[in-house]
Amino acid sequence: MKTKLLSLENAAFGYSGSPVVEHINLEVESGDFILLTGANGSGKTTILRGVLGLTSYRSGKLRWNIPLTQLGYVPQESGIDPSVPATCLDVVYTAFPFANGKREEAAKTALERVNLAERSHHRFGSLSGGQKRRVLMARALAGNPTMLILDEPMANVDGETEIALSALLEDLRTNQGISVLATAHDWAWAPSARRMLVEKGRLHG
Amino acid sequence: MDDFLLVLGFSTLPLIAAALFSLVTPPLGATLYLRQEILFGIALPPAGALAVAFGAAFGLAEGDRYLLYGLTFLFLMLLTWLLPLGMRGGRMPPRRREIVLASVFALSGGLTMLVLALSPRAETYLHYVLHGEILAVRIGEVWVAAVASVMLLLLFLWRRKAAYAFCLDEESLFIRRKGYKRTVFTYRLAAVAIVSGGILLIGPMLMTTLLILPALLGEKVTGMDKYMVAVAGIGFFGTVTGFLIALGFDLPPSPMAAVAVACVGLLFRAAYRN
Repeated sequence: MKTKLLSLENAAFGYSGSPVVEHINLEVESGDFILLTGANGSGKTTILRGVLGLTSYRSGKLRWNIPLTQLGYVPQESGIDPSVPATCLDVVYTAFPFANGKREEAAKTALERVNLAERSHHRFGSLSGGQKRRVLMARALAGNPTMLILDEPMANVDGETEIALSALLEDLRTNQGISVLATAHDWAWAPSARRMLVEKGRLHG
Repeated sequence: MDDFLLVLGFSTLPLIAAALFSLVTPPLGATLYLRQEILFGIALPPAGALAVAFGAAFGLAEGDRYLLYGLTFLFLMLLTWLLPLGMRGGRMPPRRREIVLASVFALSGGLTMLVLALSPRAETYLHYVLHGEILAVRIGEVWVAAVASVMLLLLFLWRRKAAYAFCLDEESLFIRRKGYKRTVFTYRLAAVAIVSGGILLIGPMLMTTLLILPALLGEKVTGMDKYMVAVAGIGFFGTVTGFLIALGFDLPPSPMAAVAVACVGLLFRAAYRN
């Protein structure tokens, strides 16, 4: 039986002044794989950041039925300064900031799942763009999420990594019932996803 | 040698106070650096000095100085609360944040000089602090500083993963909601407590040095825990060494400690291999 995780009713998000996206109606249930597609500047990222509370919520209804600690989020651009001394493991540890006791195993397992275990003690800033994206994916997975929110997960990743990440997402969805809400320009990597078009700040489909 | 031991005997309390602050202040500076808010390290000590000057002008520096600590703490807490630097209400863009903090620095310096010019009492009190003399520390203050420092270090050890998440990627902590506000409040409280105590016990010059130099000179280290140990080590060994040199050669301790922190940090940076 499917559980409703997130529902948006006529929601609008934006910055000060007029909303960037509006009249957004969306429901995400357990096991769903929803892909928001659209041109640059159409409002895909604003919708994701809006549901996370990172872009101001203007009107309508937004309802989460899970604790937000059960979300895994991979942003389009890493907000982590490449010059900081943090290792990949340090970055993954930020998935459980208040956990008591060691979470090294969970963090290492997450890095293994994205094939970066051998880089766990390397500086995060020394990695390529695609590798950084995989570390952020590992961080999203490390907290045992119920739902993943991925902003352009395949941007700056090579073909091999794209295939591996695509297979991983499919496995998470079908075998663990993890829901995925993602944005992308290209949807070839997500054949099983339900596609919704974002156009001029409106969501269709 | 006998002269040195005699001076050292008189200077034990300031040395202990400086050593305590040299352990807790550099990790605070490192977190500010990681959050790209190092200008806080430049702006807060002069702002605190302004509160001290103001309090001294009204006689709060006479007798027990706890009211002066309280006034400085409240002033800095109000200042950090007024500056909209957190995620809520929209994080201020870095360029704007820099100019706002630089303005706090400039205005605080000007106002402090004005208060000193208007109040001979404040001028007399702050003269030595601003010129790097840190010899007027009392045993009660050292005890309070010791207890507070140990508590802050234990809190940091216990909650360092939350502190790292706050420094490395505030958004990832913010979207969890749970624990975010508490983390921001605790962080600001700890930062203000350290700066308020440090201004009165070791002076704004050494505070600024300890906030900035170890964070910069320890950054070659890989790994957050190692980085924090490195910055605390640079601060501690630099401060203690500088203090002892100052006593031996009859120099002002605060500037000497600042120079020694730089030297120890540079040596560490040159010698460190990942």
